[in-house]
Amino acid sequence: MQRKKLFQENFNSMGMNKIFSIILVAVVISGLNRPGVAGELINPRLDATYVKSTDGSKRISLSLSARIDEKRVSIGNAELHVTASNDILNTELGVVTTNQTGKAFLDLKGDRSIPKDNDGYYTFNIRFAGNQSLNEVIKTIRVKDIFMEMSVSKKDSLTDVFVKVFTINEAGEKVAVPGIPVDFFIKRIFCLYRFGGEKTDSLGTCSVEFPQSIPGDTTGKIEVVTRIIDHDDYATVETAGSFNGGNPVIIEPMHKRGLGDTDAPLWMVYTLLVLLSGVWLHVLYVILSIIRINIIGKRAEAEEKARLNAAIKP
Amino acid sequence: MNPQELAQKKLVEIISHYDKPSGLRNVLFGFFFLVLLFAVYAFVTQMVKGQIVTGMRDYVVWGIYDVNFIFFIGISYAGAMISGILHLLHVEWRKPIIRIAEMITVISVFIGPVYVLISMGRIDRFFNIFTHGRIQSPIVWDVLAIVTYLACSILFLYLALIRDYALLRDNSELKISKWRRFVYTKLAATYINHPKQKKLLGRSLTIMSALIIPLAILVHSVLAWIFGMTIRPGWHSTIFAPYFVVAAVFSGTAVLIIAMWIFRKYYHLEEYITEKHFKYIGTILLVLAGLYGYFTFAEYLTVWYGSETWELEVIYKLFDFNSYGFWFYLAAFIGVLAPIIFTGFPFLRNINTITIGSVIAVVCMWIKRYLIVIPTLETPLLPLQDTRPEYAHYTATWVEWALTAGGMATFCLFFMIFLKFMPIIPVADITEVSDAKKEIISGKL
Repeated sequence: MQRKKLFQENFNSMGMNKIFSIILVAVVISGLNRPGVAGELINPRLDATYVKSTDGSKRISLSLSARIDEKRVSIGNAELHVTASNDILNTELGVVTTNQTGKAFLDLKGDRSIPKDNDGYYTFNIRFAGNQSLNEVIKTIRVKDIFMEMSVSKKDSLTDVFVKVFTINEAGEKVAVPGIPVDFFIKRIFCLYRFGGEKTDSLGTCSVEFPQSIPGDTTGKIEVVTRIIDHDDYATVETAGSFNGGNPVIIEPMHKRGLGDTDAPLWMVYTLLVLLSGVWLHVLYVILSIIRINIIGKRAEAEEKARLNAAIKP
Repeated sequence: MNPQELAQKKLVEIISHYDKPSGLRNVLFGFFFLVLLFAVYAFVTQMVKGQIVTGMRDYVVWGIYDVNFIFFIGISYAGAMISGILHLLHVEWRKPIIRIAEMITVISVFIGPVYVLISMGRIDRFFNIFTHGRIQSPIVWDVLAIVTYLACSILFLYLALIRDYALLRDNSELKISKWRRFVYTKLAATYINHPKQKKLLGRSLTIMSALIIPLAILVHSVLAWIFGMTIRPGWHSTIFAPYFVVAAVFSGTAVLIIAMWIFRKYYHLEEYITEKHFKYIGTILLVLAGLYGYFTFAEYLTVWYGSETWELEVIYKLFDFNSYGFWFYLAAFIGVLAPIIFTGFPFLRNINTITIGSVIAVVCMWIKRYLIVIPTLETPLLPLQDTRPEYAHYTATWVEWALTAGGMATFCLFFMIFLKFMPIIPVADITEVSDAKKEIISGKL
């Protein structure tokens, strides 16, 4: 006990209680400044993908989210400014607003002039200005223009799908791009079915054998999609085309089972008519019986009255 | 005293039993009316704001409105089956309770379909069912069957009332206002007990009682087919139609017992509705409870044993205490066992216990209908993708509960209003001496 008392006296004389108080306040303040704590702005995440299609149309797909309480939350209704720039120009491409899932798209029309740098790269800058709870965020994507051509060759029973990948130089000539991985797909109802992948050779071409026994439409027409996916220089490029390489699907005339048809089967109509008329004719008979009861009553009353009148009259 | 005088005496006796002013009755009337008004307010809210005020969403498109619809159509069986069958079989003891049963039928067939209209998103498009309906659709069959059933039920009730209206028209002892006597005179259809009239009325009653039984079976079968013909877990079952029919007769009989108890107690009809009636109807309830329990067991055992993935999803929701387990076991076991225990054991069997068993059965049957409709809709065939999980979960909102309470209140209000215009005990029937009795009296038998 004595030792404890002595320690307490020394502790107070050294002003240690004040030091502890300061440390405690510092700990509390530092705790309040933890990332994600109310009052501090959160750094959002901005994802952007660039997709070029066969027809030359380009789309920038954007997604804005933030990590809040250990969960990734989509940020909707946020304005994203998209610009394209090179060393000289800075062109405003448009402003898009994210939907409830935090996604937004910007379609770049083919005829729109987008500034290129000396190396032939397009630089797209996407900026979210931030708001009361989110910091500003800027995402930059650099892509080069590339072209794809797809063709089909048939030899005996085999069909090959060819793809040629090239760029166009300032003289307007096609320049083959070797070593580009290309994926080959068949368009199905819900998603794409991948049937192969190859890298382009020195001529900028690659081919994949088209699988047999793939059902097409009634004429055997099938849609093939080839893609360069998320390439460091060219981002995502897609080309599509259709050819008669599938097995024609024979659509059998729908078996008339009644419930799915526009016209009810006759047996059902007759059954319903017989049942309904059977019931309603009986109902009608009963209603007529009530009317007859009424008539009989009135007649009987009239007869009774006449009989009484006759009895009264001398 | 001739039969006519006897009937008039009984009429005065019965009506004086329950036509006295009563404070409790006025309070109850006011209470039910307020509940109805609140339901109207809820309905207006739903009309103005749309179905968003209900718990129904993309997946669970039917809520307690449809549960109430099935429930009310179910209890309408009381009149159809009990009065129809007992009338055809000329069962003498049926007479004092037959009017209550018929009234339950008409009132519940009036109220039930209203819930379908309420649950429709666009009530103004109701007539499209008639103009654009496809004969192949069970929903169109249901509309046709219910309309026919309602017409037949009203006609059946009216036919049974004609002789009582004639008694009321001719009665000079009761204080009947002028307009009311005028209505009675019109409704009595100049019935004066003429032999030809008697014959026509008897034949019409027999036709209607014979017609109403298959019609009632058809209505509930069609209702079951709306579910059964859908390829969904918990619904797609071949025994759904007979299962629904048995469930309907079961709940209808239970409601009849409860109504009998209320009228006997609060309208002082102990002389007419006796313990014998409770025991006889209780026995019918006992048989139906057993039958219903058997159907329940057969249905769930078959589905569970089949182990079909989607079916099991619903089954395990029903068996799991963290989901619907408590309600399922309550409905499937207590709802069946309570009426069996209270009516099956002679030492337990009395008016009050039979009624308690019926109340438990009715409550459990409502819950069972909920368990038929909701868990299946909460189990979509395709897995949920990019949708809000709450769309696949149903919780009834205050609007739905208010309209449910409104339906129950309307049911009671209708009874109270009907009582003002018709004797609850069929006086002409109970004072009539049957042909067999006449022959016994005359010594022929």
